[in-house]
Amino acid sequence: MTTIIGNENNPSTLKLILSNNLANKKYPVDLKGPNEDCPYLPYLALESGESIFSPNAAIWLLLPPPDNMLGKVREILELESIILAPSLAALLGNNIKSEKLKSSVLSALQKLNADLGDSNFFIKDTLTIADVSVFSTLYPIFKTEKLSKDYLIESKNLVRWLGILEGLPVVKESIETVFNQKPNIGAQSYQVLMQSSKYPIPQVQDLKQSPTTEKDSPKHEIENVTPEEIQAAEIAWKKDLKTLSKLKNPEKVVLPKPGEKNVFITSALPYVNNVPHLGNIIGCVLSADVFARYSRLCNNNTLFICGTDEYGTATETKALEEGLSCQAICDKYFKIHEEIYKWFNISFDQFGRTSTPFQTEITQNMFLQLSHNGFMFTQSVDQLHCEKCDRFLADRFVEGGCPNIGCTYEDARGDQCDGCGKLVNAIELKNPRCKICKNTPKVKTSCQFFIDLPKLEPLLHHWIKESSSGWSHNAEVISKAWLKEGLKPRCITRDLKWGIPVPLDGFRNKVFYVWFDAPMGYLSICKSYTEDYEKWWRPANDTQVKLYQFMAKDNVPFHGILFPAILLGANKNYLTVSHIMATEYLNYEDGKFSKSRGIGVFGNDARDTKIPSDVWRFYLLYVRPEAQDSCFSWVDLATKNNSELLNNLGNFINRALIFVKNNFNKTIPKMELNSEDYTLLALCTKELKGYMASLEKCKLRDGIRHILAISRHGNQYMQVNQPWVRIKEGEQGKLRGGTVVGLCANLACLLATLILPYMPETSSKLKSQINCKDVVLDADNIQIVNLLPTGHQIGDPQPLFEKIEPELIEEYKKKFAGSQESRNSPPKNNVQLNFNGVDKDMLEEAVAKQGMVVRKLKEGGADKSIWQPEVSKLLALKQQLIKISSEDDAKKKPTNKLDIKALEEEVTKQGLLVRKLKEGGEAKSVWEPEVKKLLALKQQLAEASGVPVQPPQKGKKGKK
Amino acid sequence: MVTISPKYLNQIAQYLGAPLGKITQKDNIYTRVNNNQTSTGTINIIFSFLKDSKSNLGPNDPLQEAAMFQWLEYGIVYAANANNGQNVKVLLRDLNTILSTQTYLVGHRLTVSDVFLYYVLADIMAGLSSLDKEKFLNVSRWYDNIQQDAALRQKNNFVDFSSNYLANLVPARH
Repeated sequence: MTTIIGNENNPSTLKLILSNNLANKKYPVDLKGPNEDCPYLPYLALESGESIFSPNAAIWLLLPPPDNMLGKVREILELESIILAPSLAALLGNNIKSEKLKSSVLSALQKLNADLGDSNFFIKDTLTIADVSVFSTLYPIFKTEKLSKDYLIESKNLVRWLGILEGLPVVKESIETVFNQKPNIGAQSYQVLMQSSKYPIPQVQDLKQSPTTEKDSPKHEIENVTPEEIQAAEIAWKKDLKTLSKLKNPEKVVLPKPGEKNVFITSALPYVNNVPHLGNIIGCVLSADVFARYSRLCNNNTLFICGTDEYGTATETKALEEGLSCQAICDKYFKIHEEIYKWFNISFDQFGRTSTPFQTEITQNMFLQLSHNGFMFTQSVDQLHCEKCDRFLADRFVEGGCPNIGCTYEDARGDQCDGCGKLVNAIELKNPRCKICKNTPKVKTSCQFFIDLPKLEPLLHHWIKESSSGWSHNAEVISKAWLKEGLKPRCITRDLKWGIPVPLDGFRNKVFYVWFDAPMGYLSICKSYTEDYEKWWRPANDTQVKLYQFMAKDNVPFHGILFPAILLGANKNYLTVSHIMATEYLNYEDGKFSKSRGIGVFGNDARDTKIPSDVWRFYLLYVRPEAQDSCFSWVDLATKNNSELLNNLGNFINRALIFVKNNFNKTIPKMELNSEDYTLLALCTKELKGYMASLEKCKLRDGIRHILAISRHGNQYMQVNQPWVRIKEGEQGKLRGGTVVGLCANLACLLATLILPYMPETSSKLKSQINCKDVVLDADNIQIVNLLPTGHQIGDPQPLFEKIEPELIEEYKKKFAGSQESRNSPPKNNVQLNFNGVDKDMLEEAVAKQGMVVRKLKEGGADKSIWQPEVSKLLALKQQLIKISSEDDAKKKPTNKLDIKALEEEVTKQGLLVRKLKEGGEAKSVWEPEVKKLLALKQQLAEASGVPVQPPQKGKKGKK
Repeated sequence: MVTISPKYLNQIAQYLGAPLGKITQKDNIYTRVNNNQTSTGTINIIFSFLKDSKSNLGPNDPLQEAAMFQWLEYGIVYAANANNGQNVKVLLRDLNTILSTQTYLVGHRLTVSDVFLYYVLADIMAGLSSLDKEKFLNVSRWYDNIQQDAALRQKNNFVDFSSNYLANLVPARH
């Protein structure tokens, strides 16, 4: 039986009960207590088992309005359910202070007040659910003096109407059921409403809550250190500097050593066909760089490699697009990548590429090894082959009739039909045609190699259990989801040209599929770094190497499943990854970065701004999408620079150093530390521990927050101790002031090391200002020692950071809106070419050249989207040529712009006309003028043909 | 409360084949005037589209009428207002539970409720990660079902619900 389920003190429940009573339905009512586990109340449980959870929909069913009132009732219900109820729930139930929200409630109430006028009910003289709904929602306000004053003071009609309704016996009875004469009717009723509804908490602009604190920052237990920690800080401070270990000199070639910590870091190989955007940079290379620099500071034997991934179809497509060879494209983009990473100060030990002989050798050997171990098999695959283009067609290069029954769409793509939306198998297309040359491709069977992943699955299962504990959460989840689904054999070869040939007879015209060959890049790039690359990749038994791989999450399946499967299958004790560090995605303002559409800020764009690379690094790492997607915002970049770098970190360091310079003649003064100073050191030691722990786990975002916390402690300490006042208070005061300043300078020295992984340039600037060296970070012995002893001479302090003005940010925001292509002026594919000062010969040459380009592209089988812009360029050139030619002609023959052929035609025509007229026996007065015309024409023709003019012909040279 | 984008009204009118009429907005409320008929409020406007287009996507009985009101209201109050990650998760979680036993929102056929919610959720669904798509499997199934009609989908992108991550990255076929 239909039942009303609701809860007490909820205005929405009143709606249902009141309607139930008014309609005299007598459905049973079940009121839940506050503790019962029922998230959304009230609802109407129907006999059929369905339920209606929207109160206004439920009362519509309980007490349907008369047909002639449907529109008006819906209008009022909507006003109630969209504005009144959720806004009141937020304002009164969730205590959100928002003037905007409140004014929207007030204007809705005024509208209802006006609608009501003098009537007893909203619509004519009928009590409808419109009245029920609004009445129920306003009733708790009406019953509370203060709220009534806030909301209903202007709405006299509503107050009168509320009074009338309240007096009705049926209403009284319903109110008693719901509110049970509760004394807490009022704001609390809206709390119940909020809690038992699905209302999202509104995000209003003018939230007047306390300034939000960083949710994901590590929780600082500020000013809370134990006596033991203070004691430890004191002991550490008094340690002799000489007992500390020194930073290793960088070796020419880093190799792993037995008994030491050996860290091998790779960053996902960026694909070569595009310029990397900020999302790519933070996702792999920058994150890996911070970790590599940190690892070197820990005195680990650290090798950090990366390189461009160059083989595959995408390169071929790009090559066609730009009219270059594949190798030229790779060379070009490799250089772009290298330059961008250089600008970002990425400290690769080797930045290589996959199109090297080493790559070929290693990939082929790996394949043969796997094949030998029985993890490869061949299978024939049906593919469409275009004879004219002499190539197998990728799915999106074929079109044809949709094979799905009932769909008559003619232009279905090889993977999907736009007409019916269903998936299509390319070889099933009716009348397939090659998208490039429109010829009919034939189904050809070609034999391909497959890697037998199902056979490798048990090995992988075992391996992943052992090693996935050190992975980032998303990497673990994605890889395990993948294994859970079960692995299928994967084709690893393709009929392409740009790639590594398969080293077996019968297959030599095929190449390895890019994902089989790309991970081999890690080995081959390592080999181009050192001949002893196997010491890293197949470490000796006594040598421990930890492999860290950084990437964005879309790369996880390759590094968590496929690459390990290949390495395990080779069965040669290859090193496998121990830490997959995958990031989520970085969004641009509120959209997505997109390489293909050119949206967002790209590596080269960042370089062209006036913002230093260290600030870029800092901000990208500050918003690093570690646990969830995060967002790049220009305004936020400026805010973080100005508030964190300039006002916090930079301010602290600069204040301390300037003080040493101005008051102590650039010399660290005598220091006598008291318990307050040791407390500061203990606090900072805590942050330092946090910093180390974060970076050990590659939680790079948190690391920054610990750095900033240290300088924040320092700023506070300086503010409280006021060294500028102390030093004027005699000898004792000077000692105290000197101690404070000396301690702050020491912290600055520590910070110089801590910021190195994040901001290498700033770090070295700061080190020269302080005249100090990097400190070794020892995870087993985290302490702050007296790094700058009394008497240490510092250099010249300079400001480290600059303010970023809002105007500049606005400018960049505008500049980098839209896509990268549309920003470049003149745009690449725009046909508006500059013809000023171009003469005819030059134009003809240009037409000929452009014609060649177009022909080459079309012959090369490029896609229409690729040659179309070139063709338009050609047409524009031809048009210009015509214009110039005719202008030339016009100069030579100012009276006549017609060409000879046209003139001849005119003459013949006129001749015929004259002959006809004469034959017809017309009067002389009639044919005389025509004859004159004929003579004039003949004269013109003679003139024209007498002058050897090249008549302009459309693109003549271009078409030879 | 945030008002819904007028885009959705446009899309529905186009799909139903109803004239859009003249749409104005005042105090967060839309009004449509067509053939001297005035409809106030988004829900009224959608019902007027149904009437003008003689579409059969409207209600057949009082229960369906109430349910459609509920889902239209849901689209406006909840779905269109789910503006941060947390709200979206809650929204999808609830919707997933409801859709676990249903193919369509109301009854056993496509109604204007499905159409409206499809448009409202388009941006959210397009932005879901593969893992979330799997987590909210019933929503994904419902959405995938609705989006198959190209006339309904209009200019919205086709959202890929294939469950194998690698299939997106490495097509098994050539």
